[in-house]
Amino acid sequence: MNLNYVVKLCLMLILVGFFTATGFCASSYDRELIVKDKLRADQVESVFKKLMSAYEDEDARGFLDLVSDERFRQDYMTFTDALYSDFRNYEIRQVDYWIDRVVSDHIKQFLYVKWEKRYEDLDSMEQRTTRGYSRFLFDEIDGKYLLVELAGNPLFGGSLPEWLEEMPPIAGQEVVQQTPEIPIQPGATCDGQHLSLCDGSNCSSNGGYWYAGTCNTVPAGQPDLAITVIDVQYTSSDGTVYYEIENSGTTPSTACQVAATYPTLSGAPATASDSVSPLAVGEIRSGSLYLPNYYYSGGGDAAITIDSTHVVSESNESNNTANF
Amino acid sequence: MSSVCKVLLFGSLVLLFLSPLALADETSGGQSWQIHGNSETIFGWHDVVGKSDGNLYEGTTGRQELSLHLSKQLTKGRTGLDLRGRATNDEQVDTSKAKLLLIHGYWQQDRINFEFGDVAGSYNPLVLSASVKGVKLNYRTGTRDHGMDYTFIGGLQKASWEELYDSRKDTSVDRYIGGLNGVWTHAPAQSIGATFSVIKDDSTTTDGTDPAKATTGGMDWKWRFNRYVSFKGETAYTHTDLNSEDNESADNAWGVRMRLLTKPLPRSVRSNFSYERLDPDYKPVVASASSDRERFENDTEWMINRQFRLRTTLKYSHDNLDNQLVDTLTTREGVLYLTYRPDWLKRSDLGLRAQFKTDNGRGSDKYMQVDEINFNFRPKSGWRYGVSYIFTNINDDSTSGEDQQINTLRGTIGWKKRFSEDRMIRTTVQLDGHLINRDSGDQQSYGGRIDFGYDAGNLWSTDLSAGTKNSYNDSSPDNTYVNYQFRANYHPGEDRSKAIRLTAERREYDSDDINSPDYQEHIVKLSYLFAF
Repeated sequence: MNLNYVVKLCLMLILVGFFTATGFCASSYDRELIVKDKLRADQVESVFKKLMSAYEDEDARGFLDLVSDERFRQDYMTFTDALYSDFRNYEIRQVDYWIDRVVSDHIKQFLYVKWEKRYEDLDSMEQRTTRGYSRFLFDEIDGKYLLVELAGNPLFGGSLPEWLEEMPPIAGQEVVQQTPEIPIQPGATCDGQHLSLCDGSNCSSNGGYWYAGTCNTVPAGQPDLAITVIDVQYTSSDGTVYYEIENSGTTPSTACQVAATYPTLSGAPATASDSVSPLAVGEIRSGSLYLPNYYYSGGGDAAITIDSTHVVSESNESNNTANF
Repeated sequence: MSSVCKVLLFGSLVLLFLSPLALADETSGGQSWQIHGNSETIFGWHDVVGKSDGNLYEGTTGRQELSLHLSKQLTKGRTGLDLRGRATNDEQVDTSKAKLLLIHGYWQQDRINFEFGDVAGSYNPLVLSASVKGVKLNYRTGTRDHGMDYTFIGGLQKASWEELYDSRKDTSVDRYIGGLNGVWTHAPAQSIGATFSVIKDDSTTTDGTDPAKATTGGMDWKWRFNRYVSFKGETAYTHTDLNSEDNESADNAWGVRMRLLTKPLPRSVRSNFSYERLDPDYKPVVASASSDRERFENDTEWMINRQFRLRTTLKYSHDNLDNQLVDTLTTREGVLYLTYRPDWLKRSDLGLRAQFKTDNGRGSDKYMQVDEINFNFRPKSGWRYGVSYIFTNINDDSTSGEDQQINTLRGTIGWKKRFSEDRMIRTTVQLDGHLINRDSGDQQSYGGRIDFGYDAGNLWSTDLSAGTKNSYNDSSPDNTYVNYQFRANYHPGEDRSKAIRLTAERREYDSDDINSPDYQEHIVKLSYLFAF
């Protein structure tokens, strides 16, 4: 048995034992206040379980009965839209969750939870598993706790990009894996092409990264945005570059900028940019960028860069630029 | 900062807390420490047949969770400590064998509250909404309905205590957060607050991510003028540098959210108007804000009479506030809800929902229309009927999108019979079907679920359910998912603070795709819970 584990366990037991012994030294006390606080944490856990149950049943009405539209701290309409979008785009199979802790801010309560969601994407008909760590804020309204804020990985509403932009990140946000069922050929073994067949002992030797119980192609917890140019169209006075962005990392990206630097008729280089909303893991998105005064001189002297302002930390920063 | 330093710093703060605690003990009038809590012990077995890609966990696992609440009543307040810990070998739950999940100590008096450990601040959402490992001090003057309330919160933002006491598990950036909040309450539903926050990442711990730095200040208010009009909102100004190590200067930006709540006819009509504007550079790190957006909304509800209720929500939003983008993405959305609770059929309701949404700009042109009708009826006999139909029409002109029409029909029949005060039998049958027409190929899916349960008072209860879903697709292989579950609860001595729970489940996935193998999962969990 690992020595560190034993030491940590002993420390915890000593701590718990100390406080238990201290507590049982007495017999009289007023339970009322304590019970009130205990009930708050219990109430919040109970409301969260009801939310999960309604989500698994795809019962939007039952779910929204547990959300406060009046005190919601993000955009309530976008959230309801995102919830219906989940039920329209996904067939929710199973959500497992483990409540970490409830931290109180007087009456309001933050609930932290780790979760694993299995669902079928009705667009691609792929079986997917998404894992995450989220924070939910509950407030008491007329004696009942209702959901008023969501943060971290998107357990609810993750199918709507607008809602992803509303979700603030939290510390410890889990590695999110949206893993489509990968076809395995009979007889395949663990190697660089079949990392999913590797275990903890042979993952890294085959070029993989071991975490969350699987062998992954990229390090934990980072998106990887890559851009490719599909086409360039131009006239005598302007142009348009058509591009494709892919997030091949293990977590969704945040919103960022795509920018093109290109030659103009006057000789001075010009820049055009556009915002890019967050990309889910594995998502490929096409787009175009209009280039006013673009001067085509044979190609190769213009460049388009995803995450031009460096707001996304990626596992591979070298594939963010493409020339055209 | 090294783990040792962090632990020492935290220890000092705890000592700072314990000193007044010791003094408080002298004046507590003989009240003594008490402890209560709960424990959950779980053993699980998970087996997967026919799938070997390592994506599903297998094996036998154990988990122990323990929550302790230690408290002591003081003469004019109370003090205490809450702890929560977990030990497990289940990697699906945690890769750590043992972990301290929560430490929360508090010392509360009439006007002063001091907390340490896991403390939280949910103030102006544009400025600070976070929990940290640190301290929190609150001082209050006046009464609950009239007076001032000051709070300081400060500490380190980490996902777990383990990252503090074990540097090998510390993979996230050290983010230091400090916040000040002051609220002046003039009367119930009339208050004005100010919040100030400072965030700084330790650049030596960022592990490849950019160290951020932000200073944000803002005001929030809530003012009820009379029974007809209230005004609430928040505004903030931030000075943020998302990468303090590059040569680019920090960004200054504004954010504002306002809501005008009106009740022109207080008992039958309410109409709320919202406005939000967040600058493109509004990124204060620990707040709920989506930058580069201007939004107008109206939410109106009209109780026409006892039977009818109508609600409409309208939204207009756009980005590109500084015109730096080549095009602007504009969204218009409207939803209408109508609820009818007929007098002639008590305990029933009919709901209609009609929604439209258009997105224009930057190659994302899209139109969506959703119409829904649902009906529920729960007579006193114990029967329960429900039916709903949703039609969704999507015209997606974006590069990767396609037009599609989705029809969803769902029906529910249930029966619940109470034999005595605490004995009950219940069953539910649910059927649903989807039909999706789209350019790339149609898709039909049908499913159902049956559930049967029995509650035998405080002693035991059981529940058995089975569900299936069959998908038939033009453009991809057909598949079937079946799920069976059995759950049982037993409360020794009819004491509901103790429970032995057994859950057994089988999940089957069959696909016509030769590259996607069929598989079956078996899951069994046995747990013992008790509160003390």
